[in-house]
Amino acid sequence: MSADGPGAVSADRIGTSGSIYDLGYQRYRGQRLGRAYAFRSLYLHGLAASFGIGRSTRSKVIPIGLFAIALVPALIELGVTALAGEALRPVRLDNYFSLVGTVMVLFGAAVAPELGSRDQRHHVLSLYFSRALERRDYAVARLAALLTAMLAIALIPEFVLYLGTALVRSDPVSYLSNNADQPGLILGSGIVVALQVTGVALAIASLTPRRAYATGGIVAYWFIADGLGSLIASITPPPTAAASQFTSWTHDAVLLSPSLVGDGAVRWFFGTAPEDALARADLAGWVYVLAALVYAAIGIAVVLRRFHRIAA
Amino acid sequence: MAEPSRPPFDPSTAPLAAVHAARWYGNVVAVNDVTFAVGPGVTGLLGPNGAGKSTLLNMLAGLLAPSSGAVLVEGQPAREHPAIYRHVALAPERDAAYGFLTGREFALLSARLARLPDPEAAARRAIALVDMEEAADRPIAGYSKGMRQRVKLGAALVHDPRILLLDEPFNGMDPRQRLHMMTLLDGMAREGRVILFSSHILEEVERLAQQVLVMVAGRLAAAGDYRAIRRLMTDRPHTFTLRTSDDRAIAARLLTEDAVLGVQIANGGLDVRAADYGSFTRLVARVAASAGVSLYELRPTDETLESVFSYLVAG
Amino acid sequence: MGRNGVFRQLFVLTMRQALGRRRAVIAVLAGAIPVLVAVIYRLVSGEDPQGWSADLLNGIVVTTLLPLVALIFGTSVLGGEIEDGTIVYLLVRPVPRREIVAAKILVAATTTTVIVGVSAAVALLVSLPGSAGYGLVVASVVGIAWGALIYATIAVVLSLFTTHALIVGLIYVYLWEGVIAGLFAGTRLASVHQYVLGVAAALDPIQPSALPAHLSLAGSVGLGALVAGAATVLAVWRLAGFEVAERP
Repeated sequence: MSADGPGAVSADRIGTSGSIYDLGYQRYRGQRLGRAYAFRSLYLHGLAASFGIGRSTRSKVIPIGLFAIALVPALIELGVTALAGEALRPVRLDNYFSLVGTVMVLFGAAVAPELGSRDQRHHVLSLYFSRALERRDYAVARLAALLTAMLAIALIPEFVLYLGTALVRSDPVSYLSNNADQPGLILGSGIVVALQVTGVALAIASLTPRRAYATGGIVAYWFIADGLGSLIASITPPPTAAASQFTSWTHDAVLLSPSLVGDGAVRWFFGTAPEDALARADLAGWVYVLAALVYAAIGIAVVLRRFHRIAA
Repeated sequence: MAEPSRPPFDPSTAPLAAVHAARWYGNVVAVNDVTFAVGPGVTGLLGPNGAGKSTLLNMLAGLLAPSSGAVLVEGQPAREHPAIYRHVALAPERDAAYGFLTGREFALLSARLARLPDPEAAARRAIALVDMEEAADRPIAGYSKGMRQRVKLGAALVHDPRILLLDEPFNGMDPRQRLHMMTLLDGMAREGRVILFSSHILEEVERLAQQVLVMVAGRLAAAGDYRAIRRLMTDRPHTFTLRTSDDRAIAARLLTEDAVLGVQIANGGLDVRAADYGSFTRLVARVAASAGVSLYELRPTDETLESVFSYLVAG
Repeated sequence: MGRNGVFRQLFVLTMRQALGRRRAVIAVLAGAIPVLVAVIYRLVSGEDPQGWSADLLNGIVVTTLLPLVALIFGTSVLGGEIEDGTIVYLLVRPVPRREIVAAKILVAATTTTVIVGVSAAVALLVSLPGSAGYGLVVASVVGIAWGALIYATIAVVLSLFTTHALIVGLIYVYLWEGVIAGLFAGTRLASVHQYVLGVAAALDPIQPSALPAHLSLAGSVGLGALVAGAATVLAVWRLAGFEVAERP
């Protein structure tokens, strides 16, 4: 505040002449921090918003609740292993995605609209684009924020399971050294599936300003494509004269199912044999990794293009 | 804690009444212990943005429950008696509309929901009332802000209500439409209807309202005829313009009086600031007579609603 | 112009809201997918039509399409009016709140039944030709109508309590019905999915065992009616005390 405070330019309030009161408004004279700082701010703000941080308690319930649900299988597995030994291993690192993939998609359906639709709904994109930030920066910051949140859901439960399994053992050090490749595999597979869910979710969210449409669209795409892919893949043509013809192009429809693609990619990382529909499809494991990355790339391209073109 | 005082009116007979009504959201108080009654005629609900005008209107209309106290429409809380909407109308401030309906369809829907015996006729009348016949058969989605506002008002009035609660009714209208709506409301008030409308535009309220309720930061700062309110503000000097046969002579005399705070000779007259309204008017006559000066004109200059309002809002 | 007049107004208004927007087009496109799969099945294989048709019905129509369409319509019929602020125009009229709730639920249930029911019927007639298909078509459409009503009621009541009604409903469907009910048999008592399957399996004269139903017809009808009834009462109570959003 300047030395002569508000009201210093006082005048007779009742007089007919005009008067201007100094309310202490000032110009910003500090350093302007530029594009990189704006990008970082937008990224961190988006990440916080993903978990409802800085919003009301009601906004935190769903994202943090979903994150907690993603941890449940790991905690159950650790509890069972601690009490009963490891005869049964229903929850493993290589099938963790098939258990919590639904949670990741619901998380994306809950959060991606906050990041991708909300600013369109409130017509505030122009406020961002008129700053040091470029359109692409905005899109990338949104993608990076959702990806980071998604990685937290994909990676933290698996690391809890991995480290917890070591701690339950009598000799954690030898377990960790025998399984030294696991952290890398968790990281690699987690990044692939998180990229896939993030790309798809934010692409759909960026196409509509309405949160309900975005949420519905994300869930509709994911689960209808899942049903479509599994059902087509379940069709096997009747054995013909060439009895050896057991495989069919229909089996490759697993690639339409985003869940099965993610599952196949994770199994390729951990080197475990595919089951059911994936076994029938008999595709090389890297094909699923490639497919997951292609879905992610399409999603990212849609997001970049949308925010490049949108009128703001 | 002291017992809340009884209101100086009978809330069971007043068309609109609030008795120690308050509404808060978490720890934000939107309306703070408000007591008033509104009778027939036009009453302006005045206050800066965020003063709690919409909250108060929504409470009266039964769309918000008071956190404490009571709001009554014809002696009943609207929230528990939807039947009261046969006689009550609300035009909300928010610019919401069924964009896919035409103006006429919206009026007709409103008439049917109001359970009117001849909804078609009522809808026609409402459309004519707000001068919307030309655009009535186009979807509301394509309307301008002023047209949406008029259709909203027309639909609100479709059931010929006794009590009208209008939240910023002239928003977005051009001056001609504004004038038309004011004439309309004025006519309805003369028929004995109860009209409470909010505005932060003083000129609107001044032209239309006989009574005002002034809200500042959630509290009722003043209620009644605004000229009477002004006279109650004894801590504020009153200003008058005087035209006399000898301005300088009377100026010198007036300056010797305690009740006169300042005198200024302006072009063609004398501007006087006085401590009190009543005593000054008596004083000026006495002074003029003793000085042998003729008074041509004595006019209070800050009895406009604007000056009343600015005093109240500035505290 | 009596009570039925007002109800009809609300029903027609809501129907125009529901069908006037893009989501109706998307819902219809989604409904085309089971038909597409059935066509592929007929072209490629055609083996074990009864077993595969049951998989089709359970695998995509009842588990995914029905709850999704019902929740999208159910959360928007009233939730859209709340979001847009138009709900005020209904509330300041002398209309019993139960008529508003009933009209909204019925529109959501009707549109869902038509979209998902037609989708299921056409898909099943393709995958299960001949008279064998008719029984399953009738059984599944009745089951879908029952499920649409229950899901729509749940969706309407959710939309009166939270602006995140759709995601809450989807979490219930895909985590509770999809994952938890598969692990813990007891939770099937509280699964709308099972009420649908219970009705459809009981009415299918040909092969009632092809659907993974765990509840009897009486159980599916009784529990479903209990859920829908309780949700309707709750919705009417909530709407009667509804407060317009004042602060953003």
